[in-house]
Amino acid sequence: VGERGVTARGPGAVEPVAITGAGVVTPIGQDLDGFWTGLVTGVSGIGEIERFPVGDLRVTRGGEIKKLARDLPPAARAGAGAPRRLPACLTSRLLIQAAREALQSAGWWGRLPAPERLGVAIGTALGGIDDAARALAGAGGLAVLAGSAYDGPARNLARWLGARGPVLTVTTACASGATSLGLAADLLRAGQADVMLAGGADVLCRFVQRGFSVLRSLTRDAVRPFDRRRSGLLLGEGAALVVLERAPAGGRVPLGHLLGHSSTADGAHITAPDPEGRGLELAIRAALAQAGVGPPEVDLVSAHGTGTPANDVVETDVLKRVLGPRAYAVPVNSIKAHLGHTMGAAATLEAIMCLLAARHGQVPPTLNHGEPDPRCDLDYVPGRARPHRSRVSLSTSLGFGGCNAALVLAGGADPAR
Amino acid sequence: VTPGAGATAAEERAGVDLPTPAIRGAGALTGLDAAPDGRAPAAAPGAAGLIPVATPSLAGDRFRRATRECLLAVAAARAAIADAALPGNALVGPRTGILYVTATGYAPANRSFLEDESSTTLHFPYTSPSAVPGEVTIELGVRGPCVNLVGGGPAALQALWWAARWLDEGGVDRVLVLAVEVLQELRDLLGRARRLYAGPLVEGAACLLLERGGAGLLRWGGVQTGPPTAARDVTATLERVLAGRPPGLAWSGAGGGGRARVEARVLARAGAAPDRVARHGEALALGPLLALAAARRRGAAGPWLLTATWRTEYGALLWGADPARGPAPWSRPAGGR
Repeated sequence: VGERGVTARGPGAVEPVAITGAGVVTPIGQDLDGFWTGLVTGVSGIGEIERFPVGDLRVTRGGEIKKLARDLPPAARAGAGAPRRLPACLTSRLLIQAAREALQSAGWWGRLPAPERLGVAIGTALGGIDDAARALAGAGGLAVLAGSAYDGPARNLARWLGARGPVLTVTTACASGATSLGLAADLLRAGQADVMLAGGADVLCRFVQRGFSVLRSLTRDAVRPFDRRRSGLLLGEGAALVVLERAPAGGRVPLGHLLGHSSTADGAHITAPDPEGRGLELAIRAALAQAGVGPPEVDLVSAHGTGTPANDVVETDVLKRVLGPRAYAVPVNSIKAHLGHTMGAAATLEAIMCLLAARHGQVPPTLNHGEPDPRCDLDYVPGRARPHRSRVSLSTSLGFGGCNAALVLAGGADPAR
Repeated sequence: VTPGAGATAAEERAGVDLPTPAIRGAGALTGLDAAPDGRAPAAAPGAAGLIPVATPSLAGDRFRRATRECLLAVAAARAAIADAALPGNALVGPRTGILYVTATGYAPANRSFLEDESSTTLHFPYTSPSAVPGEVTIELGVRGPCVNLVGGGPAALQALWWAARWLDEGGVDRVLVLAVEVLQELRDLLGRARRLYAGPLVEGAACLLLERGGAGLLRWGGVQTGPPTAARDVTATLERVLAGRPPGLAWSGAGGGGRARVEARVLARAGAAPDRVARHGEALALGPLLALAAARRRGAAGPWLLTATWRTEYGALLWGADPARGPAPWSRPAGGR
């Protein structure tokens, strides 16, 4: 056991970073308990979209959050310069709600870290797009216009927290929520902050629903990851944050550790994954190397698993190449049929799912998976949740622009094998 | 327990000081002229309006759908490769990484898609900021590490630090650090947001091709977020990276107001001549990359100090620091738990 209280791992491994807390806002639950219960009991948050007009669009359903918390304080800490009201931007509000739970679960709520040593890293595929629509319509003043930038939500969260350390906005499209965790861990290891709130968020809006509609990526059926009948994705919304620290103080038991991360480019296509999955494979191998973990030690995979014909085959092929024969023995799930594709939040939600799976000794199912596809022949946890003792998890993500990301996580207090 | 007490000073220094990369090639497309310091008459502090740049024409059917920001990005990356005298396929594969930074590079495409409901499948993918580096990686066959940040000059400084880190870790042999800003399509909105930036605005694209092997250390002062006139932050950051020694060249992106004044005072105390502080206007994420390209072109003696401001952030980085002069320790406020 080293001086940080963690056991040394394989050669070349970087220092694990503790995940001391987490917070979520999703269509199936607005806290960790609700989220986990929804995942394991097979709740779907998909329904008719009500917040904006969709009648003229090809697909009118998605994972919409119907009701938001109303008891959020305007600032996480009092003092000069603290905001007096919450931002209007919905993405920012989701982040703030998730941040409160993350800080509470990490034991920081009510006694936040020193402002200069607290940072924020937010992944997003859309930024403050709901503010952008209002700003273009001439509504709101400078605050709305400023908040409409992609980095608006991260700034709003930092302001709410009174954080004066690094504030990053990461946009590797739908892999953003993984990249943000990896970059935040880098900043901690370099001593640029003591505590980082990292994760991702995006909201459903007409902009993105129409965009994916015209791309014909949305299904009129259910989302069916890895199923033979799969015909596309549905969008969702949400926010997910984790509290990252190098050295949890006061004997707190972390939810788990981030062992390794990598984000890579496909260099192949703007919207479609590289058919050979070279970039994804490189990301997984690099993340495992950074973690000092070999393929035999991976005992749960949280796949991107969008339910599009191309994605699920590419991911399956890559997992077989990286994990070898063990690929058939490792549960591989996708939670996108529960939530829809929550874009910037997706990868962080999936990372949190991995840690909760380790804590509870269960793996949530891949919903709507009933007919095996010969090209997708791994164990996708169909039907219902399954008892499973997992410790080391791999989470994969892909996004527009040929972005890939992989996270290697360890559940429990000790990151050692 | 003091926050961060688990990190030793040596570990922190190792994280903050990294070997300075070598600038193998630089490409820039901006409205700035080719004056020695890259400064154009129209870019005098306080001038109004945008400094425009022409859209490059790139051959090939693949580019028929691409946005102006994509075209600028590919052209800047190609210019960096040409400047490095490398063949066009030199960056193919997983040993080259890319870091992309922008404050505005997605906004015209987003605006167009929001305002034009007749937009089609050709348009939506390009609303994603990741489409810009995506086109570059497709064009050049880059398949290594890829990170995209949204922000201004401080985010570009942070990207330079990550590029140095990737090279130092050995996972890549080359890193493209790319920035694109597109503003002309946003003139009316920028007019409403004049309080957010110090004019004039510079748009265009800049790309540095970095390798291992530069001189000295890259000393990263970090980004502080806070009130724009937080003199304490500016002073602490600069003193940390300068460690009492004047830079060979200081490029200030401090913008207007209190931060610029504080910065000038700290530089004067360190012995830096005020006339060595060049100002380019508000180049957003382009700023630090243009500054490095200009310093290299001038053959300026190092180390080079780069500072940047974007909204409430201030950051500073010393490129080619003397390894014998360690940085001042990171500030550690008392308190916490």
